[in-house]
This record gives sequence, structure tokens and C-alpha cells, in this order.
Amino acid sequence: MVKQRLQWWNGTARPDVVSLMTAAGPLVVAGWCFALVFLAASGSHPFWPRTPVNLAEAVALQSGWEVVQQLADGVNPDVPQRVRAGILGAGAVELSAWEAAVEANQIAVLELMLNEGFRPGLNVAPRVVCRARRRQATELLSILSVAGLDVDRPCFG
Amino acid sequence: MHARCGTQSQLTMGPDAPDQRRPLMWINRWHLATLVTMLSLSAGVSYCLVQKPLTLHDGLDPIVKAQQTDSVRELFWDQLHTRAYFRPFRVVQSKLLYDSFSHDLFGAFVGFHVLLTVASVLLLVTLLSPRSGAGFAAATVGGVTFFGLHTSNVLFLEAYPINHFLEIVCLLILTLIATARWRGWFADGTAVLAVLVALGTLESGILVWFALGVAWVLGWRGVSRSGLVTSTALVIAYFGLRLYLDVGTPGLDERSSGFGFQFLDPSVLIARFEANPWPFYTYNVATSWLSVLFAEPRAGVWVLSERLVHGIVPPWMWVNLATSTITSAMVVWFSIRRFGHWIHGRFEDADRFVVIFWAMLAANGTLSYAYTKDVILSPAGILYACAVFAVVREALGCVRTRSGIVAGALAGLCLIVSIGWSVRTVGLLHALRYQAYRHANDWAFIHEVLQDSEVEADPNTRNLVLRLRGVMIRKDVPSPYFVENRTLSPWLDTYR
Repeated sequence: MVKQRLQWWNGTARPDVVSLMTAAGPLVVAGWCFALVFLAASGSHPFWPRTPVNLAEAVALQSGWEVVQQLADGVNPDVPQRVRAGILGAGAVELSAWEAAVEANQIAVLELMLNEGFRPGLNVAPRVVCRARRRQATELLSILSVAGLDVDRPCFG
Repeated sequence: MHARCGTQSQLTMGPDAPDQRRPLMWINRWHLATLVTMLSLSAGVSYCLVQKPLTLHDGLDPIVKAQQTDSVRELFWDQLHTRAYFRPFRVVQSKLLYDSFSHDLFGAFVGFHVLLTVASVLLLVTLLSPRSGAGFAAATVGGVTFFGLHTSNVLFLEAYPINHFLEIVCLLILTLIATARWRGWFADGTAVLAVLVALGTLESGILVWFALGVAWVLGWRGVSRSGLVTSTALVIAYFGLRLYLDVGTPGLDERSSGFGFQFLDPSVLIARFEANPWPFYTYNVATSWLSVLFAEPRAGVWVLSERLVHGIVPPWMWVNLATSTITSAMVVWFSIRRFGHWIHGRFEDADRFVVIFWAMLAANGTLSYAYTKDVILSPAGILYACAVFAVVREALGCVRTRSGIVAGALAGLCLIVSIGWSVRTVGLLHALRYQAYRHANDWAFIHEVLQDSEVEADPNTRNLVLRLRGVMIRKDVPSPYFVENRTLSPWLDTYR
């Protein structure tokens, strides 16, 4: 009886080299999946990395949900923030979220911030408008105009 | 006439054939090893699912319906009177989850998605029941085929909030298990219930009954004749009800559909095919068949061919095409070898897997006549994975018993297929990250949805949508900008 049960447990054939090699690919992926879950259980997420970004970077990268999240958390879109190198060109730049939207031509994100009830402050509005005009971003300018900004004011410098 | 590769003992029963003396839940070490491997794969997918926001488009509507309806019964009756589609159980399931877990809707719907994902692999392993080393290897390749196949991707990428296509896949395998591995009233009851739920959930639910019928004809008769007759009666009642309620079928105006190198809007489809829709229907059926076998075209669009004509083809497209073509060639090779046995009515388990796949491919493709999408073909896709199991196991058997060029070539093909599908499975996990980003962004840019008349008119609905949005935008989602790997990413299909 025990012998018969052992026979069931062992199956009908021993694996050969080709079978083992064939199974290797799926086994590697399965092992990797297991490792991901094991690491996640210990609080590490190498496959699901969360790289912190500031509001201006989120705007430039069109990460709408991060924009909404940070605005809800009270981040001021008028305050200039450092956008790391590679996102808006080779070098790092310091811009407000509004200017980042213009610089990256993120029309949808600009509308999103306006829909969330925010408007460029008096100190940042001229810079936003002038940047948009320099870039000849007519669509952005019309959105800013609808939002109540004076898009015809002269720009200096 | 070609015989099966393998020893005489294997010829009589097949190396992984089910043994009728086996108790219901009996497993051996190869079965267990396959189970562990497949559960690990499903754990990886589930890990991504729990961190991904729900689908907004197509996903919010059932939740809103569940919230706006007082009772399950009312919603059920309401769903009986929809046009073109007859899916009374679909939204009802969302309603049941909504009512039971209204305090944590995300947890409820994602939990159900994970449950279906794990169930699908448990059922698949139970159906394949590997009992040898070669069977184990073949089953793992079948497993990565299931996860890596483009017809399966939407099963995991989308939460509508319940992925009913995945549900149909589970019901399909469950029905096959009932008739192939079980017997008696339990098998009958399971099959009849599965057919009933599938019919009421999606149109492709009829394929569950179709698979049962084909399996029964091929000799898997764990489900009794009366069980089959009851299932058939349900199908007749289903069509009778559709006619009585004047549900109709989807027309050209229903949705966009791929044609040639692009997607055509309903207005264009009507302008081009209203007078004679048959060329369009024929195109949909033919491209559905080709899509499963060659991963091209996708949803009716010749993506790779278009890239080939107009620009550079990304490596992942070649991976998909090569893997699918080689695998399909192996299925054809197996079919040719065994065709002589089939016409004499001699079928072993491996034969049944392959014949059911061909039958399902034909039926599933035909059912896609009105419009074709990758996910509609998921029933044929899961049976493709079963056919891959049968074919790879056969090829490994041949490698053991033969020598020379044939054995070398078969061994090489098995390795290529195994690596190709493994890469495509990694592609699914990679795609889940991209999809998470897309879905999180969809929830952020929700203002158009909020202006929808149904949502705007009801403050409770508006609050519900905003509450859900609050949960979704708080998910930690990796940005493609930071996770894009310039070396690896081009090899992975992200379903963009």
C-alpha cells in the first residue's frame, strides 16, 4: 500500500535534461514573482518603485494623480521647485508648477489644476503668460485667458 | 501513421492521463510542483493587481449602477431590457459586492480580481494534471502561455470593476474539469451551474457550453448525458429569452473596430459597410483566428505589418510573432501526426486538448464577427495554453525516445517556446505597471466624467465618484519615466 502510494507520488517518469531546461524559463519567472511578493511582505518594492517627485516635476511628467494628490495635501503651485535634470531638458531648472506646465506644454495638466480650483497667483501669473507667449503656445494662452489671466500684458526681458 | 512518442506504458494511458481511480483532490509531486510554480506566477500578477487602481472607463458605470439601484432584483430586471447585449448577471455581481463591502469598494473589487486570478491557475493545473517530469515542464510552459498570451492581458490589466472575461475563462476550465476529471451529480451540477452563470454574464459564455459539448463528444464524459441535456436546454432557453425580450445583436454602430492598419469609428464603419456588412464580418472572424495563432493582427489591426511598412518594428513585436508562430506550428505538427487517430475516433487527453482548442478557435472567432478585441478571444487563448501543454509534452516525449536531428530540433523548439512565453509573461507584469499609471491618471482627469448627466444630477453619486477618486489617486504607482529600462523595455509588450 505504502509502495503504491509512493509510486503515485513519484509519478510515471523521471525528468530528463531537456524537460528541466524547458521548465527553466517559467521557473525563473515564477521564482522572480515569488521574490517580489516576499520582498513586498517585508516592505520592499523593487518592482513597484515609488520615486518621490515634487509638484513641478509631476506636472512636467503629466502625472495627473500626483498633481491632484499634492494639491490636496496643500502644496502651493506658485512656489518654484527644482525640476531634476532630464525632465525638462539636460539641466535642472527651478520653476513653479504653472511654469512647468507651460514649459512641458502640458495643456491637460494645466486644465486639471484650474479644474481643481487653483489659479496662478499675482506674482507668478506674468511669468507664466510671458513664458507661454515666448513659446507661442496659443492653446495654453487661450486657456489662461479663460481662467482670467491678462494674456495681452507686455513682457519685458 | 505516426504513433505517440514514448514508452508502451505511456501509449496505453499517456504520461499525464487522469486515472479514474484517483480521489478527487489527489496530487502527485509533479502536480504539486506545477501548482507551486503557477501559484508563484499568479502571486506576482496579484501583487501588481492590489497596487493598481480600478479601471475608470467601463469600470465606473457598474459601480454607479449598483449605487443608484435599490435592490439586486431591480437591477437584474433592468439589465434584462438592455439592447444588443444580454448580461443580467454582470452588473448584479458588482451590486452584490457593492452592497457587501461598500466601506471598502477598492478592496472588494481587487480582492475578487485576485481571487479569480488564483482560481484560474488552480483550475488550469487541475485540468492539466501533470504526472511526470515532462508533464511538469509542459504545464509550466502552458502556464506562461496563459499569462503571456495577448488575449489574456486584459484579463489582468483591467478591473471593470469585475473582469467578467476572466470569470468566463474560469467557468470554462471548471466545466472542462467537471467533465474530464470528475463524475456523478457533482460534475453535472458544476457544469450546469457554470453554463448558467456564463450565459447570463457575457455573450461569450455560450462558449462554456460549446466546450462542454465538444469535450463530451471527444470522450470526456464525467458530465452525464442528462447533465449535457440540461446545459443544452439552458442554451435553448437563453436564445428563447433573447428573442422574447428582443435583445438583438451588436450592429456596426456599436463601437470602434480595427480594420487594416487602423481603428475605424462607428460612423466610418457604417459608411463603408452598411450596405453589405459581410466583408467586415468575414474580416473580423478571419483576423480573430490569425490573432490567436500568430499574435498578429491585434484587435483587427495589423500593427506589426504597419510598423514594417512605415518604420521600425519594436523587438517585442518580433518576440510575439516568433513565439506564437513557432508554438502554433508545433500545434499543427501535433495535429497532423494525430489526425489519423482522430478520424477513427481515438482520443487521448492530449488529443482532446488540441481538438477542443481548434474547435474553440473556430467558434470564438466566429462569435467575434461584429467586432474583434484581444480579450474576446480569451476562451480560445486559455485552450491554446492547454494545447501548448499537450504539444510540448508530446515533443518532450519524442526527444526522449528519438535521436538525431528530429530530437535536437524538437528540443530546440521547446526551449525557444519556453523562453519566448516566459518573456511575454514578464511583459504582462511590466504592462501592469504602465496600466497602473494610466488608470491613476484617468482618475485624476475625471472632470468630464463628473459632468456626465447621471453623475452631476445625483449628489450621492458625485460623492461616491469623488470618494473613489480619492482612493485611486493615493495608490503608489510607478512613473514610466523612472521605470523605463532602455535595454529591457523594448523587448516587453506593454499593450500601449
